[in-house]
Amino acid sequence: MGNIVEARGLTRSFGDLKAVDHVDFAVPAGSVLGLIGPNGAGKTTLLRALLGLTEYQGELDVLGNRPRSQRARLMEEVCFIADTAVLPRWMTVSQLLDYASGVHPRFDRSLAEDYLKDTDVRLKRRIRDLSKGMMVQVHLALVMAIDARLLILDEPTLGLDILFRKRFFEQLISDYFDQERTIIISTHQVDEVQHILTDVMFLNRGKLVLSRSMAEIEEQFVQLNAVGEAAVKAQSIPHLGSHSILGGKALIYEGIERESLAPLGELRTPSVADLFVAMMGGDKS
Amino acid sequence: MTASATRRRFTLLQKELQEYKRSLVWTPIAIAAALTLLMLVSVLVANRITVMSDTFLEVIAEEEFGVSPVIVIDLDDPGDDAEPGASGQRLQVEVTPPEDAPAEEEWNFSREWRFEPSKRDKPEYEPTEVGSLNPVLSVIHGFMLVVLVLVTVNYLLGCLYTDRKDRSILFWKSMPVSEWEEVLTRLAVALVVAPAIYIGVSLLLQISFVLLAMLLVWRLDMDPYATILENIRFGDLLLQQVGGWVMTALWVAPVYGWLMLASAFARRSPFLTAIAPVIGLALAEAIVLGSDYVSSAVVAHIPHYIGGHSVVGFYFEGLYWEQLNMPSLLLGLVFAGIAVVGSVYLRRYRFDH
Repeated sequence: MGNIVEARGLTRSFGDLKAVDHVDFAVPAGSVLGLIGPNGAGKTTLLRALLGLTEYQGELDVLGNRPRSQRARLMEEVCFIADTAVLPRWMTVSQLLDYASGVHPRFDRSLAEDYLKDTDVRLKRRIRDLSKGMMVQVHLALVMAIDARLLILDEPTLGLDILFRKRFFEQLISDYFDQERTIIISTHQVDEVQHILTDVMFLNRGKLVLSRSMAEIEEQFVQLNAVGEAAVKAQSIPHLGSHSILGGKALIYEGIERESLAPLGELRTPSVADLFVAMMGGDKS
Repeated sequence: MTASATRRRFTLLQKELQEYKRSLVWTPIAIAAALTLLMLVSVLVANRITVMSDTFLEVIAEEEFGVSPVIVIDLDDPGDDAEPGASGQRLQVEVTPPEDAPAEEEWNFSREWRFEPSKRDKPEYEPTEVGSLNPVLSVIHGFMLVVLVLVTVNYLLGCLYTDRKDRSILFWKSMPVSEWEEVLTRLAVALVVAPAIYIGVSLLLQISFVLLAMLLVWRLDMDPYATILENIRFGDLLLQQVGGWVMTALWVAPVYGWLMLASAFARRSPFLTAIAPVIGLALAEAIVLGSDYVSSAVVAHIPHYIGGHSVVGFYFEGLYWEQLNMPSLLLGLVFAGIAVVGSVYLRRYRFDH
């Protein structure tokens, strides 16, 4: 147990712009953390800092290593998909697996081949001849065949159709994830990953807006769907945000007694996406 | 642990060779195959088609009959000389007419014939003739080296640039391979692995040329062993060609290092990034100081067979080592070291531009 990642005052600035601005957070072992934020919120920069791919100020500890100076060692226990379609296009799938088994002590080639057996990807094919979806399948197979402690996925399904996206996350959870592994995913498609997350972090303009476990979110946030008169009443109670629903309003409250809201309408736990919109956009009434 | 370290190094090298398979592996093989085929055709069809077989024949003729293409007449008393002048004169009759067919003025003996007593008089002349085919084989080797250097320059300019451009660097960085390993592997490919392939192929090519020359000579009803094999000093060839590269590698290391640095630094064109500062510096120096330290330092580290002034041969004689410009060699190696450190730094901290 313990934390896989610990950051204190993590900052990364490009000139005047602070892409990541004094962020403190910790990622417990065995969690699946969703890093969520609008475009330009600093998600990629934050993840790159964890991977030792960019400079930063502040303290950062990933699996006991300082990522910047110990990237090569770190990569034995951390793997990542930093973007879609970054596999070397000139290689064949087989050459790619050869390379990984040659340089990565924790890579299991036969496991990767097993994963690929279920797909249309043939080992003799060149990466550049594969479709984008197939490239992601190859990359995922490669990454899942590495016995890593931390897996970082930065928009891994960007540009893929919904079938591929669904299969990607299903495979990730059913074949790969266990209690000893930790996964950090950044994505726009919050709805599609919500059910696999144990923790979420909201990032906006480089600042950490929210960092909770899913259990805490369930405890602390509540969404009230109110119609008619109740909606007006509900809006007078301080809330994080709201959006229109058929015939009324859906309002999201933080740290409020559920009983006090119960008479006004239907109560439920807000979806991560709605919570995110509420916290980012404020009151849209 | 050592087994996996070896495998790791092998994997890293293998990846470079796979990526540049065409220029590093297939090019030398294709050139060797094409040249061998050309020679084979010239041997089988027309014995005198190629320059190469011409040269072979010239050397053979000189060796066999004591006649060089320059017609030599011995004005000494025939009695002094042990050499059979008769054979020389007989051949002279055979060689002259087709070349001097038309005019009467050709019979102006005093102009055409040369007097070269020194060649004939020196008894040491015979031993130096052994190995007379070495220069011919060196021409083949030199050609392969020119291709090698061009291909290597292209490799070095691309090796730390193309993966940044196509963003596959984000994949390479996800593997537990340090920047030191990446840079040193590439330098090793440029200085050792690629030359080993080219020189290996070149040696095979030379062997096939020798075999084909023996075939040619055999078709001319001469003894292939005596005319060809005895005229090649294989030991010298190996020493010059393999050892020569060791020397060249030391000299060319700073240039290669610089190209790699440009490749790691470049945002658009690694070629311009490599060339422009050097030309700029050399021009600035020439204009401001009126000297040429920069340009002469650069030229001194470019192999002479592609236009530079550096050494290519490799001899163990003392005189040769004394001629060597040691400070220039050492400064060059220091520069190469700095370029490697710079490339590692850029690869680690500034790859994302």
